[in-house]
Amino acid sequence: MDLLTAKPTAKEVVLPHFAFAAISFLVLAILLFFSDDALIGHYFHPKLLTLTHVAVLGWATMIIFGSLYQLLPVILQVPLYSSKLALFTFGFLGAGTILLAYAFWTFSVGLPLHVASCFLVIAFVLFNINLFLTVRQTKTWTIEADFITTSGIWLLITGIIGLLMAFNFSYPFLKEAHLHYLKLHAHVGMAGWFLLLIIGVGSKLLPMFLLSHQLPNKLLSFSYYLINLGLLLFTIDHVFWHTAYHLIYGLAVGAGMLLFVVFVIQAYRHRVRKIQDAGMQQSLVAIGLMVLPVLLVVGVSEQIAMPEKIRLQLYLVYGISIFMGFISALILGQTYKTLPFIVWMHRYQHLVGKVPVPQPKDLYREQWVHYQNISYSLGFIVLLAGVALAQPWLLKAGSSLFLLTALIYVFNVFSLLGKALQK
Amino acid sequence: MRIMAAEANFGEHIYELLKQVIDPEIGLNIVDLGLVYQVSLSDDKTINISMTLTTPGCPMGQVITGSVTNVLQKHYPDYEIKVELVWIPMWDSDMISEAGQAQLNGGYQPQHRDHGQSLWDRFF
Repeated sequence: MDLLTAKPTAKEVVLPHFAFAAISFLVLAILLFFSDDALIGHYFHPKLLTLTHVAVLGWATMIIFGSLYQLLPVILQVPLYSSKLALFTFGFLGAGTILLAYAFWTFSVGLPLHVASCFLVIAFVLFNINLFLTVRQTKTWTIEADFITTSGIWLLITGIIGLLMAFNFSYPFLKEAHLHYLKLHAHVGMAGWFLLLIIGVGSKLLPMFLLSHQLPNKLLSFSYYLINLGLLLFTIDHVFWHTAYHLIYGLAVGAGMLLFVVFVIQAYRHRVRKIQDAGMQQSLVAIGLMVLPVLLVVGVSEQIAMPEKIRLQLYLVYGISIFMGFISALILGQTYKTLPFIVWMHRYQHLVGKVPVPQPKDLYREQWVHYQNISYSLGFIVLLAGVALAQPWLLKAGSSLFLLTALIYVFNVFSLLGKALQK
Repeated sequence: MRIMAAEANFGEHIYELLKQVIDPEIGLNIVDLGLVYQVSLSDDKTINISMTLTTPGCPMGQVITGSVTNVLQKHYPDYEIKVELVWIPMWDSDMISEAGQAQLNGGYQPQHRDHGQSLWDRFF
């Protein structure tokens, strides 16, 4: 059989990532609910550091790792190199995230922070080894493979910068102030890891779910080079040159993001399915939200004069527009395009054609996903307004809606995971 | 694209059976989706199915090909079933039958072949 479909990864490797990520999202929403005081001040705040790292590691990176183990065989048409390595990575990432969250919340910047940072870097090294050894098996190198492989390298760089900063708390050795490296750490993580990864995976999955064909890959190529060029120049400049060209680098990255948005619009225009399901609707909202940080980067680039208090609020709006904006929205949407299929394949694949079986969409209630999408969208708008206007009551209302979103999401995810465990 | 087996009734029956195989993501059977290119019967009691997927690396590829084997094996236990995935011609939405278009979840969006005329298409 001439199969261009590689062996899928075992559910024991993939599903724990979804469980951990869903719980992290709930923890994030609960912490957010009790952190409105931190959202009206400087971004270098123990509560905000905790929230950010629970969001980026426990929620986003964890679910991306799990999804990638399932999707790499789809995108690259080769099997995952090692499931054992993936489980070790899960252990280090999980333990590192919990310890890091504890260290930041209690501001224990000694041993707990050092151990957590080491665990996380070990996780990123193991992930990169697994990714590299998987990718090298592929026979046809694609732009998606470029995006995914490069994102893994940027993830490792982000982790190493974080590790250096963690040790710098106890044993100061870095030349510049902590905030200087924090900007580098945050931007390399956001643009290098999340953005490249999302584009690499999204450029394959979104057209596949829209049933679109013959899309212009040159848009993706330009996007890839613009983002990497902007990020590389920003990194070198930030460490060595110290010029005032940050806005140019930011705009290069932003232009790369917009080219991906154009690619998705092209895919949507060529779609075969007229109306999308709730998961895809949420994913398309996420793509639209990518425009927001591109606009805000002009404000945070320090090229425009403004009072420091407003700039600090703008930084928070900028950060939230990325983490709680397009990254969270895309994960919320794509969960319903991946998890039901993973559960369905493991539970019903062997029965298809022998006895009547339900379809993947029958494994969850789509109406609840619609409610989740509505509460997320309202929560995001209200939270953003609350941060921008520094209004505690808006922050409380926005975080309450996020909590509702998280509760619906966790209920749906664990209902699906429960079905996977049934005999 | 449907190239029938020498025994027409046998071929028709195979196509009818294959309509039980649903693409789980799209929610359409693989015959109306246009994935089945050729059905043939060899002298050595082998049923050969030549088919494609909507995209190379489709995550449901193994599920669909496995289902084809299951469905046919159940009705023809004395025959060997061979499923071959082919990529030429590439699947296109034009291959969806009219019945398939009517059943598609979310409705069918006809493809405009005049893309290239608008300002958007000239740029992108």
